[in-house]
Amino acid sequence: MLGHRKQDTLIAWLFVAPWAIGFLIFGLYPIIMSLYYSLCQYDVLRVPRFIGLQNYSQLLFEDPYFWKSLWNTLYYVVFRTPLSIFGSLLLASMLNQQLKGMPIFRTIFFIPSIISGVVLSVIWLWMFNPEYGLINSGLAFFGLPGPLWLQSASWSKPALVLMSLWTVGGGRMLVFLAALQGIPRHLYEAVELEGGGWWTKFRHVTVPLISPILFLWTVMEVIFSMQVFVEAYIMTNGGPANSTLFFNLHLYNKSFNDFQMGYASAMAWLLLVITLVVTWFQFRLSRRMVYYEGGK
Amino acid sequence: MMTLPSAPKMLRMAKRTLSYLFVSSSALLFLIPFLWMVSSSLQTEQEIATTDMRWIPETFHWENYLNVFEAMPLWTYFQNSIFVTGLFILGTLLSASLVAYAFSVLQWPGRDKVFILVLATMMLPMQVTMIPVFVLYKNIGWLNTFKPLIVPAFFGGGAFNIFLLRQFFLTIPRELFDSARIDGCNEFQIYWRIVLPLAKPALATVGIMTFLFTWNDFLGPLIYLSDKLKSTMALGIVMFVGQHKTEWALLMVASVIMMLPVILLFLFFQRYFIRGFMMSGIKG
Amino acid sequence: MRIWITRAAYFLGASIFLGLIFWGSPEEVVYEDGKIHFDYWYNVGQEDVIPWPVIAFNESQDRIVVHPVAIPWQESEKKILTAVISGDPPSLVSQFVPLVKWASRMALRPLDDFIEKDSFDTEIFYPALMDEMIYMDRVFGLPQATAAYALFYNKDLFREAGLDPEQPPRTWDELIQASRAIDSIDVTGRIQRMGYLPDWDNLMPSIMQTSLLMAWEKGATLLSEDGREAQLDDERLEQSLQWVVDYYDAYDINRVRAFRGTFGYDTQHCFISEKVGMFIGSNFIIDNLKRYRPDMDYGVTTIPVHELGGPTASPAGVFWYAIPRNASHPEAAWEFMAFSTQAEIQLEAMQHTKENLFPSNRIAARDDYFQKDPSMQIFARQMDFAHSPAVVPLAHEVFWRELNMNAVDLIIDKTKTVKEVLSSANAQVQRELSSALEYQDYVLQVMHFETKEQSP
Repeated sequence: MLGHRKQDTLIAWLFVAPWAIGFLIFGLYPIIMSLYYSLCQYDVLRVPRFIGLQNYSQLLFEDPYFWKSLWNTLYYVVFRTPLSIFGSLLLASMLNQQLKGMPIFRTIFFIPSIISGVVLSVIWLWMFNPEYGLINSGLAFFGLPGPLWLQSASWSKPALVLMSLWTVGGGRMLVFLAALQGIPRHLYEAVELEGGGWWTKFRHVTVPLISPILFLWTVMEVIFSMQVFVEAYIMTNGGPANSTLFFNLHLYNKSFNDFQMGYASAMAWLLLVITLVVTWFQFRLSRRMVYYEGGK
Repeated sequence: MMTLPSAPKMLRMAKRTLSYLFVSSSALLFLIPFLWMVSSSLQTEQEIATTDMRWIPETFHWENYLNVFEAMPLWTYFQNSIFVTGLFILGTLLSASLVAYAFSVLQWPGRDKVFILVLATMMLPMQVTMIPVFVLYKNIGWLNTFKPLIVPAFFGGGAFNIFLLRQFFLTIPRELFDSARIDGCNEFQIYWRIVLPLAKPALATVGIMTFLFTWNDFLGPLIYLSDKLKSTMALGIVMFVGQHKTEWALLMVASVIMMLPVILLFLFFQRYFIRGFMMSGIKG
Repeated sequence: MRIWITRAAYFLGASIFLGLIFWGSPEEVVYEDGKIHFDYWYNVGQEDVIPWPVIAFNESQDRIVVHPVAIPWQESEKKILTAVISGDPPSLVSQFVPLVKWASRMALRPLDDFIEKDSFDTEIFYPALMDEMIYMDRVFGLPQATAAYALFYNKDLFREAGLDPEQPPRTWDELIQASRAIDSIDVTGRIQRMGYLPDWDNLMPSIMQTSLLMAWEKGATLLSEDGREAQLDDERLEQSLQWVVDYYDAYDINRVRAFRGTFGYDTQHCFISEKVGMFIGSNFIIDNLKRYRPDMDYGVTTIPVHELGGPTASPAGVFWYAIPRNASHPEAAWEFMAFSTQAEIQLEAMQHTKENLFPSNRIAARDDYFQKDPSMQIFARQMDFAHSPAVVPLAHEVFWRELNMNAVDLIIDKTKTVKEVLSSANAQVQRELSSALEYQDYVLQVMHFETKEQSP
C-alpha cells in the first residue's frame, strides 16, 4: 500500500493527466519536431532531408518576401497597438460616467469584438469597396475622393488598422473600465483643488494608476497584433503588391501552399525568437514607465 | 417665480448632455457597419451596385436568406459547426475542470511549478507547433476528418480555461472538502459531486468563451479539412469569398447568419461573456 | 420535489446539447448499388457546368459512376495535395500546374501499367503536351485540353495603315515594319495606338509574347537534356531579348508605360479595344471578340518566323488528368481518362462547352469541325510547333517570377543589360532547381523502390 503522500501525488497526476498527455503530444513533441524540420527540406509528401541551417540562411539573406513581411507586420503592430489601447481607454473613460442606458452602450461597443474574424473581414471588405462601399460613398457625400483602400498598396495597411478599431470596445475596454472605476475619487479631487484640468487629471492620476493594466494589455496587444493573418488572408491575400503580406501569411503560404514545411518551420522559430525579444524589450521599458503601487 | 437651477448644477447638466451626445454618436458610429451589412443583405446585386448610400432598401429581398442556401451548402456547414463546437465545449469542460481541480484542491509536491509551466504554454505562438501537429495527424490518418478539431479539447482544454477554473475552485471553502474526505469520499467523487455543481457559473463562463473560440475559428478547419462538404461555417464563408468575391448581397447574408448565434448567446448570457473577458485581464 | 425539477431540467439540457451534436455529426456517403463510385476534382471554368465527358461517360456504361466536384482555382493545388497527404484523395483530378512538379513530389500514380495493359496509343496527343506528362521515364497523366496561340491582327487597322489585310507579316522583320506603320502617336507625344508590344501580355510583362517564342524557334530549350542544368543564359534567348530592347529604342519608354496603363480586362483588352494592332493570343481571344466586338474584322495567322520556311513556335499549357497516389479506384479513373481523351469525345466536349479550349488529341483537331474554320486551321497547325511553358518544371514559379516579373522591365529601362538579367535569373533558377533535384535524389535513394508501381 503506497504511503499517503505518494498516493496523493498519484491521484493528483491522474487528474493532471489530460493536460500532461496533451502537453507531451501537442506541445513538447511538436516543438522539438518543429526545430528538426526547420533544419530540413520537407514537403510532407516525401521524407525530410537534413540540410542544416540552409533554411535560416536562405530566409535571412535571400528571401525578399521575408523582410517585406516583417516590415508589413511591424508597420501594422506599431500603428495598431497605440491606437487600439488608446481607443479602448478613451471608450472606457467615456463610459465611466453614470449615464442612463449604460448596458445598451456597452453592448453596442462590445459586440464587434466577439464576431468571427471571418465575418469581420467580409463586412469590412464590403465597407472598403472602392466603388460601392460605405466608406467611399460616405466620403463622396462630403465631396471627398476615396482612395482605393484594399486595392491600393499604400492604403491597404491603413485600411486594416482602421478596421481593427471597430473592436476596441471588447474585453480590454471592460478591464480598463473596471480599473478606472477603481481609482479613488479623492485623488481627482486633489488635482481639482490645485486647479488642474482634465489633462492634468489624466496624465498624473489616471495613467500612472492604471499603468500596470495598460502595460499588460499593451504587451498582449503587441503579441496579438503580430499574429495578424485572418484579415490579410481573406481580404487581400497579401496584395496588392505584397503590401499586406504579413509574417503569418507568408508562413502559411510557405507551409500549406508551397508545402515547404522545413522553410516554414524555420520561419516559425524566428517568430518565436522575435516574440520573446519584443516581450523582453517591453518588460525592460516597463521598469521606467509603469508605476506599481508598493513598488515591484 | 421658477428658480433656475444653480450655476454649478447647470454646468454639470451641460457636461452630462455633452457626454451623452458623445457616447451616443460614438455608439451610432459603431453600429453603422452592422446596419450597412443588414441593409446590403436585403438588396439584390444590381441594387447594391450604386454609389448612393441607400440605407433602407426599396424592396426587402428576404428571399436572399433562402437563396444563400443554394449558393453554398450553408445548412451542412451550420450542422458541422454545431457538431464541432458542441463536442469541443464538452471536452474542454471535462478536462479543464479535472486539471484545474488538481491545481487548486489537491496538494502535491511540485504543484505550483508545474502550474507555471501550464501558464508558460500560453505564450507559445501556435505557428511553432502547427506544422508538426499537421504531420502527426497525417501519420495517424486524421486529416480531412473532424478529429483534429475536437480531440485536443479533451487534453486539458487550454491553459487559459484551466487558469480560470482554478481561480474559481480556490474560492470554495476547504471545510467542504475536509468533511467529504472524512465521510470517505474519494477525490473523484468530491470533484464530481461537490466541485462541479458549485462551479456552474465558472463552467458556464468557460463554455461560453469556448463556444466563441470554436464557432469563429477558421484556421483549424482551413488546415485540416479538404472536402467541401466537411467545412464549418467559418471556412465555408471564406471559400465563398474566394470564389464569389463580387456577390456581396449573399456574402452579407451568410455573414449575418453566422453572426446571429453569437449575438443571441451574448444577449442571453452577457454575464458570462463579461466575466470571461475580465478574467483574462486579471492573469499575470 | 424541487430537486427533481432541477434534475429534469439538467437532463433536458444535456439531452438537447447531445442531441444537437448528434444531429450535426457528419454522415459518410455510402453507395449500395454495386457500382464503383469515385470523385473527380476539377477547376471550374467560366461556366459552372458539369464537364461533358463526365456526363457522356456515366451514360455510356453502368459499372462506374464519376462524381465531378468543382473546386475553385484559388488554392486548388493546396486542396488536392492536402487530400493526397491525408491518404484519401479523389481518384481523379485535373489541373493546369506543371505536372512534373506534382509527379516529383510523389503525389501521382504512374500510368504505365494501364497504358501497357490497354495498349493505349499516346501518339494521338500533340508531342509537346504528352512530353509534359513524363517524369523519370514514366507517364503520370494524360493531356485533356490546351490553349492554342496564334497571331491576331486587326484588318481594319491594317487597311488604315495602308497595309494589305490579306498579307499579314510572316517574319519578325515584316512584323516590325507593319507595326511601325500602325503606330499612332499624337502631336504631344502621347501614344494612341501601337502596332505591336513585344513584351506585354495585356496586363503584365511576358516573355511569351515574343522573346521566348523566338528562342524556341532558334532551337533553344533553356534546360539541359537531363533536366539538371538551367540554361537561361542561352545566347538565343539573349538575342531575342535584345531584339525586344532594340524594338523599344524607337519609342519613349515612359509613354509606352503610360499607354499600357490604359489597358484592362474584357472590353478594355488591348487588342479588343483596338489599342494594339497585332497580338499573340490564345483562342480565348476569339471567345471575347465574339462577345464584345463581333464587328471587328480581324485575322488569325501563324506566329512569325525568323526566316521564311523556318519553324514557328507557340506556347501550349496543358490541362491534364491524373490519378493521385493512394486513390481508391485507379482502374475506374483510368477508364474514364482513356474514354474522354478519344477524338470523338473531345470533339463533342468542344461543342458542348462555351469555353474555347483546344483538344489535346491531334486526330480531333484534324476533324472538319476545326478545319472548316480558317482560324482554327491556323491554331491546329500552330499546335504542331507547340512548346511547353513549363520550361523548368521543378523551378517553375521562380522561372516565371525572375524572367517575367523582374527581367523584362529592367531590360527596357536599361537598368541592367540583357546578359546581366539572364545571368542573375539563371542563378536563381538553378539554385531552386538544384535544391529540388537534391531533395528528389535523396528521397529516391532513401526509399528504395522495387516495383514499377511504387517508384515515382
